[in-house]
Amino acid sequence: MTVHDVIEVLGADIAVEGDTTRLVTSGYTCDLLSEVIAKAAPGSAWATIQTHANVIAVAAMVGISIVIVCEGRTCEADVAEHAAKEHLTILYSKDSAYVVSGKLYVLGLR
Amino acid sequence: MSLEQSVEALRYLGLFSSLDASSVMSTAAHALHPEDRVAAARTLMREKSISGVPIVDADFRLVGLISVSKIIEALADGRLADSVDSVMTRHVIVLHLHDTFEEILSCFERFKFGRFPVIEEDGKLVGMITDTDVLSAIIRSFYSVYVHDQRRTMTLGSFSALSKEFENSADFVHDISSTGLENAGEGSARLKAFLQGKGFGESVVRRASVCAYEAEINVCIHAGGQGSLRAIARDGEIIVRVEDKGPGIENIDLAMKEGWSTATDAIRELGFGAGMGLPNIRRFSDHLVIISGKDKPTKVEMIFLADKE
Repeated sequence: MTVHDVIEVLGADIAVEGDTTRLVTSGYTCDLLSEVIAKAAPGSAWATIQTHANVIAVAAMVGISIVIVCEGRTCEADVAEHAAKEHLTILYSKDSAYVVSGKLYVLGLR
Repeated sequence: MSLEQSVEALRYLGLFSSLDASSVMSTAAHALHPEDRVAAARTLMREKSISGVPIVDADFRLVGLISVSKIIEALADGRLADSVDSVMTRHVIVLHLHDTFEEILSCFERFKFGRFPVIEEDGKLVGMITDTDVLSAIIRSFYSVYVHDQRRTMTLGSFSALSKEFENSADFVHDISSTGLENAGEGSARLKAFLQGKGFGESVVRRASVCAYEAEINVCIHAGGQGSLRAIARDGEIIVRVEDKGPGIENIDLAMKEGWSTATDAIRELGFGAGMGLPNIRRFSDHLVIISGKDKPTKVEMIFLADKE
C-alpha cells in the first residue's frame, strides 16, 4: 500500500502532506528514538507521541514513509518545515498509539 | 553439527582467519617448577579455579603438565609431599604461538583436554588456551570493539587504535554546533546523502548513518553540542569519526550497557537517553574504537565494511 492508502484508512488530520505515492511496507510503534532508528524497517509507518524536530531526522535516517503523531498531540512549529523538506507525510491522530497500530495491523501491515 | 564440520565451515567462510594462538591465548597463566610439591599444585588449582598447571624449567621451557586427575591419583597414593616432577605428564600436547584458529579447534576436538599450553619456537611457555579463551576470542572478533580508557593508557602508553588517515584530511567534514537538540542529526543526514552519492549500498549507508546519528546525538546531549563528524569513504569501507571536547565518559563499561544513561529526565521525555546509543553503535558497526575518560574529550571511531553485505 501507499502513504495515500494509510491516510484514507486512518482518517486522521494531515499535518504535512509529503510524497503520498511512497510505499508503506511495515509498521513500528515506539517513542524511544534509538529503538526506532535501530529496529524500524525502511518503508515503515511510524506511530509515536514525540512531536519535536528529531522525529523527522530519525524518520529520514530510517527511511520512514509516514509518521502518525498520536494522542491528539501536535508538532512543534519547525517540524512541518523539516518534514516538507524530506517529502515526509505527518498525520495527527486523536487515537492512542495502540489504536493506530491496531488499525495499521488490520490494514495488513506487519 | 560436529566440531569437525564446524571447523570445515569456518575454513569455508574464512571466519576468524585472523585469529591465531597468540591472539586467543591467555597470558595471565600460572606455572610451577618440577621441584615444587604436588600439594602446591593442588593449592594453586583450587585458588585459581584451574584444572591444569604447566610445569616449566628454570628457563621457562615447558617440561610437563599436571592435571586434576594426576592430583587425585597422588592424593590416593598419599604423594602430596612428592615433587611435581614425579607425577606430571611429560608428553604434553602443545600449541604453537602462530597456530591458526582451525588448528586450535582441531586440537580441542582430537584430544578432549580442557587446556593447552602455548609455546614459542624455543619451547618457552608463553600462555594457555582453555575453551573459555576460544569462546572469548570468537565473541571479541564478532564485536570487534576496542575500548580505550585510562586503563589502556597505563598498559599501552601512547599507543593509538585510531586511524591515522584523519590526521591529514577527510572526505566528509561536518562541524557539530548545536545549542539544543533541535538540529541534532543534521550532520548524519548530510553524511547519509554524501555516502549515497558515493554509490555505497543501502544497507551499509543505513548502518553508517544510524551510528553517526547516535554519536552526534551523544555530542548534543552530553558534550554541549560542540564537536565534529568526519568520514573517510573508500573502496568498500567507510570510516566515521565523531569527536567532542568533553566532559568525557567516566565509565565506558557502563556506557556500553543497554539501558544505562546519564541523560536528564527532560531529555528522556523527548525520547532520547534510553541508554541505547553506544549499544546501537556497537551493534551496527564492524569495528569500533572509543577513547574517552573523565574530563577528557571523547573520540568515537567506527568502521563499516560494504562487502560484508
